[in-house]
Amino acid sequence: MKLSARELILAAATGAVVLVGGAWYFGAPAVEAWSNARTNLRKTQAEKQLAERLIAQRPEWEERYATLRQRIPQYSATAPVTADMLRTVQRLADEHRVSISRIEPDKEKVIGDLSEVAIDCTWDADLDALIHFLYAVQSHPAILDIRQLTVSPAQGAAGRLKGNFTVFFAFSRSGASGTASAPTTP
Amino acid sequence: MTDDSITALVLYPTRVEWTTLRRRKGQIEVAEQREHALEAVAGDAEAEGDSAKRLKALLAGVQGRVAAALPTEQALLRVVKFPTTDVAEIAEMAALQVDKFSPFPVDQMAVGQEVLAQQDAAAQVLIAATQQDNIARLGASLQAAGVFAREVDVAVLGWLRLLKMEGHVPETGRHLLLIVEERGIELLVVQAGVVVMIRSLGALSATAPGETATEIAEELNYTLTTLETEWGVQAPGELQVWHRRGLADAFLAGLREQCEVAVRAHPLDSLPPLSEGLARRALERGPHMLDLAPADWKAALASRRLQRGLIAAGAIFVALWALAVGALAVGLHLQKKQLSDAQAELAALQAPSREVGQLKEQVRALERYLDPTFSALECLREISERLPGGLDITALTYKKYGQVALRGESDTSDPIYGFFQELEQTELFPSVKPEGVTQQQRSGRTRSQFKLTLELPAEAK
Repeated sequence: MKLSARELILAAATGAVVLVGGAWYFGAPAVEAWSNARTNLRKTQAEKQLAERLIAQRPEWEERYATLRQRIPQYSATAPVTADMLRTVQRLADEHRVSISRIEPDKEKVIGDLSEVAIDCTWDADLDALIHFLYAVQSHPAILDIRQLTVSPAQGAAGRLKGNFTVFFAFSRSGASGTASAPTTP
Repeated sequence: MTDDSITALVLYPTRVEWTTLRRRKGQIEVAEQREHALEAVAGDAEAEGDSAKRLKALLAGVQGRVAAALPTEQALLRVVKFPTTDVAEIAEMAALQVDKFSPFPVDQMAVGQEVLAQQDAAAQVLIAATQQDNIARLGASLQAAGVFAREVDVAVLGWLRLLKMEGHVPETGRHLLLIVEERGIELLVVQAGVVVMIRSLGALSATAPGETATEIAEELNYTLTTLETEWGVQAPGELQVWHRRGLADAFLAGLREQCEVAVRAHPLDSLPPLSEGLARRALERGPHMLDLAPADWKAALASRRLQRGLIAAGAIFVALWALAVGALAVGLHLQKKQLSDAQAELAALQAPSREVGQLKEQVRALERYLDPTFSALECLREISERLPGGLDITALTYKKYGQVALRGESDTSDPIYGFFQELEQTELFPSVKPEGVTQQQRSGRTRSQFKLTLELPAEAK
């Protein structure tokens, strides 16, 4: 069978179109898969780098943690820390003439081997008493931190203030004996 | 091989020769020149088939543009003058001339013409005509050997080209050239360097060369007489006899004895092969030159070239396609492998990294407790220090790592603005955002009230 030039060109063009079309039809999902794999690879490599960087920083964090940990009060696994802390806050307030009308502890939160208790209080005092109380909290040997504080004038008496504060207490529990061992707590 | 190279092929009954010329850097050079003996063909179809196979093997290296030569004795050749130089008109006039001198109907003839010289509006034209069957036979022989010729020339014109090239065609006067070959004898009459007559004079008799010489001498004398009417009276300079080695002495002696002009013999072997002359003509070929090849040969060649081009392009395309598909498959496989390796490595790192993350969080948590920089006490101290006289704070909300929201009032606005300015200068609060100052009447007095937000730095991650 002899084909004319026109027929040859048409046949070649048809073949090329079929080949390219077939390649596109079957190849497009592969290209997409490749593209996805590349994106995932980049993401995974970035995560890997982050993890490696974090792991490389381990000695530094361990050192910082070791230094800080010495300042954290130690309690046994079952020691009643919340009650102890309520007592401590109340005592500090009394010492500095801050009247606490409501004191409400939150649940104990655990971050690794660090535990945290938040205590929400409603207070009433003059400015001087409040300042002294805040200073006492900040300089207390136990790790206490006031994260939230509201101050507004109290009704009825001039110079009298009232409000709320939330004080956080950090400690760690060690062992499972259930005996308290809080040498640094007052 | 490109069109800048060409092979001219001459098929003799007992040998084949070809020359390939190539144009390189403006110079024409002989790329290949070969000659092979052929066995005589018995005549039956089987023998012809074997001969074609042998020829095909010999010509396997011949590629590209090919010009073939028609034996001179198969062509009718006439030199005429036409009162035009237009190539198309010359072609039409040549066809009319062939109708006059050809014994065969013109529609059975292949006709070609070549403009030999032009003067003013007239042209001296060589007309060549042969039966189309001769061309078809030549083409069939070559195609059987796998050669597809694009051009067909007449052998004697190749010799004339060589003789001119070697300086044996004088530019002045009338001269006779006799080419004696195994296939036949051709006579060329050249006047002022341009051929005016070409005649085939039959073959040389091996048994009676003297008789052939006598016949040729008579033909020469007759030819010279007939020339006078058309090309004028002019005494011929000499008769050059170009012959192969081993020509019978009796032939030359007979010519010398019976011709009225001086006879000078030259060996054809001193010239390059005929195929070179034909190849040079083919390389110079233009529309004014002779070509007896039918148009369908050229069309077939163009089609073959297109077919080859398409096959080559298709092969390249398919190869590239296969390469692309292969690259895609391999690339995808490698990419997936890299991904799975990276994921495995990440999985191995996740546990220790999580541990460090937790450790980091614990350290941050502890540092939050221990860092007094942005404590409630520090913020109160900073605010108290910058609080101007006559301005009262009515509400304060402190949120560590968040903001301090203040409300206050004063008798006039000035202390409020001064307080804003003072706070903007502190380093403790990165951003001080006054929320507005309003005037209010209270107990018959105008009081200015304000709201203010002091941004605290966010917790470090």
